[in-house]
Amino acid sequence: MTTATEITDTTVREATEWLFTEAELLDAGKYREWLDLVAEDLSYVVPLRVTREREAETDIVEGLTLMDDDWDSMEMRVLRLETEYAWAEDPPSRSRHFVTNIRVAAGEAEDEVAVKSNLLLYRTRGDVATFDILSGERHDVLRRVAGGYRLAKRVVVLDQTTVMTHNLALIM
Amino acid sequence: MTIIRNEGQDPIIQIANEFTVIQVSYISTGQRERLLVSSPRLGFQTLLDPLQLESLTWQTPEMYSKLLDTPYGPGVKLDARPLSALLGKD
Amino acid sequence: MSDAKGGHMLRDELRQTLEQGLRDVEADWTVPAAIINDPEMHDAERERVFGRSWVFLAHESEISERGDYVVRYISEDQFIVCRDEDGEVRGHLNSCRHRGMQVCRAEMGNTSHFRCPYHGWTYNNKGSLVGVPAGREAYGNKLDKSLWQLKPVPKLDTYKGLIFGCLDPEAQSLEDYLGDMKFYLDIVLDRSDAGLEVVGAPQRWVVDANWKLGADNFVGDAYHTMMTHRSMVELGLAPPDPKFALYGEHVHTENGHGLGIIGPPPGMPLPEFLGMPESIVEQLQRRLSPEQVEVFRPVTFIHGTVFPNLSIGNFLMSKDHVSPPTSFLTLRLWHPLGPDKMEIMSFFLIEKEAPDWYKEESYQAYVRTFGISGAFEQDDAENWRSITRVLGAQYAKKTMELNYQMGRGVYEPDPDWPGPGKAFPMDYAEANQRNFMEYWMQLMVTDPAPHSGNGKVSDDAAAETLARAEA
Ligand code: FES
Ligand SMILES: [Fe+2]
Repeated sequence: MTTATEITDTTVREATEWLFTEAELLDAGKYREWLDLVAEDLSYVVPLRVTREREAETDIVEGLTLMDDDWDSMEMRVLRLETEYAWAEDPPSRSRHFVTNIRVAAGEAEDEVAVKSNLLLYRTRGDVATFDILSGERHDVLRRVAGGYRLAKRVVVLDQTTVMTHNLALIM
Repeated sequence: MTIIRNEGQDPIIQIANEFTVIQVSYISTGQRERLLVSSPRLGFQTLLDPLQLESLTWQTPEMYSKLLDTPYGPGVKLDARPLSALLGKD
Repeated sequence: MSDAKGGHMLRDELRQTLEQGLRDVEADWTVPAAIINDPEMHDAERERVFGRSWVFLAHESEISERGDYVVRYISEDQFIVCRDEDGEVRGHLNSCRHRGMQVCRAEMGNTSHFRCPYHGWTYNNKGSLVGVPAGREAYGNKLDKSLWQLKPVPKLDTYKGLIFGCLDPEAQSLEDYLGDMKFYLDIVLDRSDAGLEVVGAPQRWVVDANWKLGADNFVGDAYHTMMTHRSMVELGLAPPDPKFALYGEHVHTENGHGLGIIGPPPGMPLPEFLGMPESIVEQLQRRLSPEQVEVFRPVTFIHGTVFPNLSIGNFLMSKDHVSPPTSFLTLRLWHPLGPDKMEIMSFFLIEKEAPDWYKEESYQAYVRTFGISGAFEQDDAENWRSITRVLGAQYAKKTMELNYQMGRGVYEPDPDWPGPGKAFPMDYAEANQRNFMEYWMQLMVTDPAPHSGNGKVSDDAAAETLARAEA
């Protein structure tokens, strides 16, 4: 049994800074550098939601997701973007990750913190004056390693059941 | 399904769908054992004993359709008078 | 503009474009660009294509229990697709007979009765109106409930687990409509004893693209894999030969259906039968005909479209660049939301009794390569948006024909193919796409028959079914 990290102001500041740095890398398209911030046992899941009555236990669908990646498949996505044929993101979208409502709590393991944040992801492509917006809540597990944190787990609960962007090619 | 803890008593089982919510709990007093079925939204409730419950087991879906003839319960007996009756008639 | 028959007439210009298109697709193997992104085409298409065709609604496994329901679409009409208390599959227009309110507003659930949230009219899941609040006071008990059932889908039928609906009460039967395509559908739908199930629910997302581009891509476009999906070839998720999709059979049938059946590139050993688990392979060899087994044995990819907007993908693919390939099955619906917008519903299916390891691997391969975040599929959506945007413009629309000439003078139908339909020995072909577009254009120029569209026929048919069910 491990004891959970005590959450100090420093932990909160570090976790917040980690999220902001991550957002900056993603918006700058520095996916390789982003991968360096990710733990090798990464689990990255975007659940599938459906419209259900208020009384339903959950609106999250069991058995299927919108995205379910580990380190290998994330590396595959990054490698893909590095080929010359990843049309979905070439020319790239211009994106902006707005990260707010950051809540830091003790993680399950001693070296982990659980960080919740709200995400507004703005995306625009080509010369068309339109945009897509994704909004959701992220549930992250950050693991403390020498020199910083690694993302060990992320669940992104999107607010739309019918998603209004043509693909989830961007890392949220 | 949700199990609602019910202080000092048996828990309440709640099931719901898109259209309504219903609660079922076990009630016993002395010799009496019944299931309390209640509708928190409409405010009705009924205590069903084993024989009443048994009688449900051979009912057809059509029987329940008949029971739903008044989908929000019996309502109150209307002895409404037209609004005009309240207006002065001098 | 309505004609006497209750259908809408085509404007002359539209009709000329389509009639010219029909001549061109036959003679020149071209298709007018104007059919892709045009509001009038879209309007006519709603009635003439989606008003007449059998449209996929749901898979039976999604409503496996009595009372289960999902809400699905034919064009913009929405239907409650449910299993009634007697176990029969039904489709009801999701619109209360009182003021038209949506009766179900959740996407799925389970209920024996539907209670309208507006004034509380209550229907059983056969669709009959059974309850009206204050019926005595407000209607003096004089409302004849039997006249006010939920409108049924005029025609509803199931083929090997796929539930289809059709708005045209005069339409041919689903069996006839699917015709020779059934031989191929069976390979996918009927290869295991326990059958398929939809896992979870479909992913749903919106793409600014015309739905026909998805249907056209799946019906026959093996050619695009070389370019569009090259990133995945380079990473080793698809066979290392960028032309891998060429080595296949290109088959189409009547009513616009078609598919491509791709084997391994020469000299590249890939497992037989999509590398499915032994237990399934054993079952399929017993269940399918010798011809179907022969067709299925070398398969690594099956892509196809059941006209109009249901596509099938049964692919052998790796879940990432370091794992061996696993097969997965997806159904997708290209649901039109406008001339330049569709919703994609992407279903993941698996053999119910497949071993757990296969279920897990198959799910991962699917969700990482296909669907909304799939590394393969992302590039397709990008292309279809782009095409839709340019082809919506006046000059492009008026002057462009699209080239559907692949294979012209290169190959003849394959005389040795063991399956039905018209087969070509190479999947780099556009015969399926021409067949799809030609059928689409034929529907578009065919005026509505007398009596259709006034709703009466379907009412009578529905009353009959209901009377039978209740007898
Ligand atoms: S609209 Fe449904 S009860 Fe009035
Ligand atoms: Fe593709």
